[in-house]
Amino acid sequence: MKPRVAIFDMTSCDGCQTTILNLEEYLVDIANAVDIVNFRLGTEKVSPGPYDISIVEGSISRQEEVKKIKWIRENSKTVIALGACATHGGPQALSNRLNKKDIHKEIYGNIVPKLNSLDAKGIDQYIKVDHYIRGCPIDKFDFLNILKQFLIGKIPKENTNPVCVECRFNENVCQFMELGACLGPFTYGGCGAICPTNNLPCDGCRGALDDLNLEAGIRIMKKKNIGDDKIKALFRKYVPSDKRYEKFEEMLKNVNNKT
Amino acid sequence: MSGYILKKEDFGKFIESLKEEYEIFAPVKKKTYFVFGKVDSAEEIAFEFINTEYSPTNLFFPKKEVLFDYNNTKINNKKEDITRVIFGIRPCDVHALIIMDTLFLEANFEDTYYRKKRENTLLISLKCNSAGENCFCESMGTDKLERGYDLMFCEQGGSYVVDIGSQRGQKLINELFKSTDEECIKELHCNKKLDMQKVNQLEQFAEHEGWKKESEACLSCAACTITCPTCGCFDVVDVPNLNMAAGKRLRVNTSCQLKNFSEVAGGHVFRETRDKRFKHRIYHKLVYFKKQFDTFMCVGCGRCITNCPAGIDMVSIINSLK
Ligand code: SF4
Ligand code: SF4
Ligand code: SF4
Ligand code: SF4
Ligand code: SF4
Repeated sequence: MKPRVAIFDMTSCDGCQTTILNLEEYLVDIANAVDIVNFRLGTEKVSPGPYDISIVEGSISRQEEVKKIKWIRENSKTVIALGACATHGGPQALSNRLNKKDIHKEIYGNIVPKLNSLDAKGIDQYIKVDHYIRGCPIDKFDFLNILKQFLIGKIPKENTNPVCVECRFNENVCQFMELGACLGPFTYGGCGAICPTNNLPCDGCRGALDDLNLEAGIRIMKKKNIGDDKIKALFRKYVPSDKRYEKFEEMLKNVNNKT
Repeated sequence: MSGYILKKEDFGKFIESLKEEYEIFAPVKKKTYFVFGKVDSAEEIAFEFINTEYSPTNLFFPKKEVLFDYNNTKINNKKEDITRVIFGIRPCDVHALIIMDTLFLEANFEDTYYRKKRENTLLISLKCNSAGENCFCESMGTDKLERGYDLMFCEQGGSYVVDIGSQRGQKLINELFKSTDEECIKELHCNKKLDMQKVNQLEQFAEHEGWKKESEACLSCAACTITCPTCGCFDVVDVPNLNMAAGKRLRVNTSCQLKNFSEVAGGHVFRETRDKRFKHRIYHKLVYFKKQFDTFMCVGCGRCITNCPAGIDMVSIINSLK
């Protein structure tokens, strides 16, 4: 029997799910290999659990989603977090640092609906996640590769190299050394270093690496005359819900005191 | 062997004559960097380089290489019949290939992929006019080159003095070249010097607290090993197709600076901390390899210094060990 794969979404922009649909030339092969039983963008079929693999896009940002993600975990053999929102909160986690009432008023005016909103967090803050497909949006081949490994019964190995590895493979001019503002050394690789290869510094969309040397990085940025606000903005964009970010402000102060 | 001379004004024609039989790779400009790239004419070659940021070893040991693809039980080995000439490879980088030969040709296992590329490629080395700020080839003895090249070009006034290094090189000599008694009279001096006495004492410094201190600035980005012309570590990765019957096998360059490098089944990581990884690179280059093969695994090209975003300089670290 083909494995039953379900795709769910929490708070997100659908961009990562759309990227799956962009795998046009492989979609038939995917359909032959697995049974997609729940995919809002791709099929109307909705079947009840249990599922072999559940792929979840989006951050947990509302009370209802906490219940839903726990239900998904209970009904799935394997849970995969899909994209930056699900792996570490995504851009909406930027609002975690702000007052919720103010934001709601700004967006909805005086008639604020009942939102039950929470700080936006990656799904692994609530459940055990078996694998992460990173990026904002994901790399479609990354998705394909991970799916294939599951199919042959392998536990996919997370790419824990920094973005710099593939960037150097591509023989790029280093933006960090030129401008002092590239998050490649601090970010999970696997995207083929697509941004620096196209002359843009890495924004860190794949999330903060486990083997991180933030303090050394901040020191280099300061040496390159990057201001505190810019440094904060750079790191804040994608990893504000990362616990290590709390230490980040401290580190910045530390570096400032020492220099 | 007797020497030849090639007038600079004939250099373009020389490249044209090579094109009939060979693909030509030479230093080209990539924004602010120099890299080796395929060229179609002499105009594309960047002569103002001291050395390239990325090394010509990449043409022999690519960062990602398909070893073979398979379909059911049929294995399809990639054939590479293209013959290439690399023009403008610096003496230190020829030395680097000689070191890579030790690893890929002469050690217990011969690497057929590497061998093929070595056999299919002619090297026209170009002597340096001056040393870069991070070059320390003089300390490593790699500024001079006695073997390993097919032709050696030395810029002298309006001409190149050309030395023949092999029979294959001899065959490239055509009517554009004139014989000469003139000799290349270039003496290179590096401002950067590695204290070889300290290098020979490195084992005594294995537990030195300096390694931990210096490694605090390191990002573990791996630029130092990926751009090093003598780093040959790789991983083998299988990429099956969705139908599971076909796929390909890749070899991918990797680095001891990465935490996952020394991870084994079960998740144990042998060199977990940054200082251990940091020290390992330097010790592999200057201690372990020397013990095993009686030659250093470093040619003093300086790329690990030039390309380090943290400005880490193993020469000054070693020199100041006390
Ligand atoms: S440009 Fe960015 S990703 Fe590339 S090597 Fe430099 S720091 Fe790393
Ligand atoms: S280079 Fe950085 S920002 Fe760009 S896709 Fe990769 S991880 Fe994301
Ligand atoms: S290039 Fe520099 S910062 Fe990067 S791993 Fe090597 S020593 Fe560390
Ligand atoms: S162990 Fe490290 S220093 Fe040695 S060859 Fe491999 S990557 Fe280079
Ligand atoms: S260790 Fe550094 S100086 Fe030595 S060969 Fe490698 S990149 Fe060049």
